[in-house]
Formats: sequence, C-alpha cells, structure tokens
Amino acid sequence: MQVKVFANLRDICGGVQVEVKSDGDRVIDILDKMVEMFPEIDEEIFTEEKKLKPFVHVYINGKNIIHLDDLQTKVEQSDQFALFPPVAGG
Amino acid sequence: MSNRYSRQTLFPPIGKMGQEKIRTKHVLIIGAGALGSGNAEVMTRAGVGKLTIVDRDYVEASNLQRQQLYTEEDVAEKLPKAAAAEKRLKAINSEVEIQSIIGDATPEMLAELAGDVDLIIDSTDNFETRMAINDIAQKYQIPWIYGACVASFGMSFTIIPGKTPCLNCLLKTVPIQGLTCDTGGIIGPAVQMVIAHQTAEALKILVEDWEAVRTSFVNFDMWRNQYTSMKMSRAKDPGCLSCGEHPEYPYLEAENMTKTTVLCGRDTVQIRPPHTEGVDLKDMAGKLKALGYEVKGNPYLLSAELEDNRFVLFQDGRALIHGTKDLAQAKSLYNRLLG
Repeated sequence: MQVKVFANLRDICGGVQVEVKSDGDRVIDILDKMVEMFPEIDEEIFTEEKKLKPFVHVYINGKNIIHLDDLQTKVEQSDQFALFPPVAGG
Repeated sequence: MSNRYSRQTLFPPIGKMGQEKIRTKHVLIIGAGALGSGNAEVMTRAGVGKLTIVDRDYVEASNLQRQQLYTEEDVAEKLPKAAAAEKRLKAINSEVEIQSIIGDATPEMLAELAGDVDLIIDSTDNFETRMAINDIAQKYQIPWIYGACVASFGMSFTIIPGKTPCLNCLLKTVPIQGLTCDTGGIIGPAVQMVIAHQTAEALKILVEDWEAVRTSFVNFDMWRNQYTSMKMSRAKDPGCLSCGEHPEYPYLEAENMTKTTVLCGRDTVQIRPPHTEGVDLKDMAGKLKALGYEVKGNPYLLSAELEDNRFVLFQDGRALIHGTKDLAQAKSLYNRLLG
C-alpha cells in the first residue's frame, strides 16, 4: 500500500510516499508496520496508550478515519492512505 | 489614479467587471502576523472595497524576518500589529477602507463582523480560532480560506459553505501541540507561498469565478521541492455539527472555548483549553529544551523559564503563565507554543 506522508513526517520517512507491505488490512496494521520501518515515527504519531496524537490525522481516500472506524478502519491496496499533521502556524 | 488597476483588469478572468466586483467587496482577515500582513497587502493592492484586520498581538523584533508590513520603528514603539498594519495599508492604497481591530477574534466579535463580510481569509496561528471562523462561515454562508505554514512547509484549503467539506468535517477535534513557528521555525518563502495560494483563491471568489476555485487541499515543502494536493470532496460529513443537515455550530459555544482567567493577586494567567485529549508533556519539554529554555517537570506538569514568563503546563493542557496579567498576551504565548 502507498502511504502519503506530510510535513515533518517526511523527514523521518525520507520522502513523500512510502510503500508499506503489511500483513493486516486495518489502519493500525499499516501504522504498526510503518513504526517497524521507521522507529522514530512512533513518538511522532502515537501516545503512550497507542492512540493517535491529537494533531495527527489519517485520511483514507480523503476521509478522516475519525468518521470511519478510527484505527480499526479496513483499507484496501488501492485506497489512498494519507498521514497528516495539520499545521497551525500563521 | 485612473490606471491603478490596469494590469489586473487586462487579465481576462478579472477584467473591468471583475475589478468592479472586487471594489464592492469586504474582506475580513483574522490575524496580522506573517500570513495576515501578506494577505492584507495583496488584497489592499488589488483594490478591495473594505478590509478588516483583527489581531491581539504587538510587533516584536522576531516578526520582521517575514511579516512584511512591519518596520523597526513599529518594534521600537511596540505598536499593536493591527494598528501598524492599518497605517501601512492606508499608505499603500488610500482608496481602500481599512478597519483595524486590536483584540482576540472571539465568536462574539466574529458574529458582529459577519453581517457584511464577503470573504474571510484565515491568517491565525491556532485551530481554536479556525474552528470558530469555520462555524461563523457556515452560519452566515461566507466563503473562507484556511492557510498555515511552519518551517519550510505550508498548506491551504478553500471552504465554500454548501459546496465543500468544512474544517470540522476534516478534523472533528481541535489539534493542539503540533509544530508552531515558535517551536519549529519558519522561513519567508513558505509564508509567501501560502499567501500566494490564499490570495489567488480570494480573487477568484471576489470576482465570483466559482468554477476556478480550487477544491483540493494543497500542501508543499519549499525546501525539499515537494508539492502535493489531496482531493477532499468525499470528506463532507452529512452529520457534521458545523455544516451538516442539523448544524449546531459547536465552536461558537462558550463551553467549547479556551477559558483565560487572571489568578487573583498572583500576576498569573490561567489558560484552560476545552475538551482536549491532553498533551504530551515529554514531547513539549523536549521542544522547549531545544529552544534553550530551562525545563523542570514531573509526570503531572512541566515548568519552563521563558524570557519574561514562567510557563507551567499540566497534562490536561491547562497552563499557568506567570509574570503577566494580560489575558491576550498569555493566550498568544500559549498558542505560539502549542498551536
């Protein structure tokens, strides 16, 4: 699955898009695999209780997973997966 | 100056008719920092009828690197940004009616202003104000343009009530503790690129060229030469409390706003954000240490010595700002550190 990453997460993942090959088909499986690939991302996206940090958002085909099944949302290979920290500065 | 707008009216999508539309419109800009000063300058030069700019802060030396309306003189005089902006904008174009408001853009203030506003350009530095702008925009059917930047990246999204998803559809909660310009730095070109996107959208909206309005969410990184956009049309949530079938405009309600209070006799302001999922103290301590501040802490709170204030942050997002009684100054400091 192709995961688009944004803002400061690009430094950690080394690019705009990352190929993630996960065994599971839920959002959490994809993110777990990403943590395995890029350990530094763990601290950026997850709280200690393994929830998404309040400023980290996951969009599947442009839809925030908050409106779907959150981290349990099922994804398909062809879905557009975006990991996104909204920026506040102005 | 009869030929003042000649190069703009030569551009066919605007033309003389478009210019006349621009001349009759009222644009509201919330925030007069980096984005606000740039957006205000472009709108003023373009010849809008009226421009209102709201800001609660004053000009500091660290603003001059990117906040294009301000000068060393404004810093020396500690002028409020809104007042300094008004002075400069009037000198740029005396045909535009400039209204400056020094204060916090609260839901009450936004509601008072909303009556005759045609467009809101977001230039604020925090999501709480953006959520209030979003609700006002939905309630009064005013288009608005989100824009934000930090470090070398920026993003923008245009929200047209009744057509596009709104900010509440996209976020649902108020994100705090992301990177801010005070914690992650910022370079001028990232600011200018967001301004370019916001003002291009603004001109399209002012001349009512709705077909031309961008519907995707743009974001870019000026240092790493990356530019992407994301389609958002599917993000519209029919049950959204801001733009759905039964709107309640939750971010205009007092209980959903940050509470600021001066603690009696202590030269301290308490800031209590609403319904946050808490903050990551370890992460925040790391950011403050990286900025060179002395930080102490325990599992419940952190305490940092800033230039003029002591900043104490609790796990639930509540903060005490010691060394001030000024609510606006304290809130501004909080937003600069936590977003």
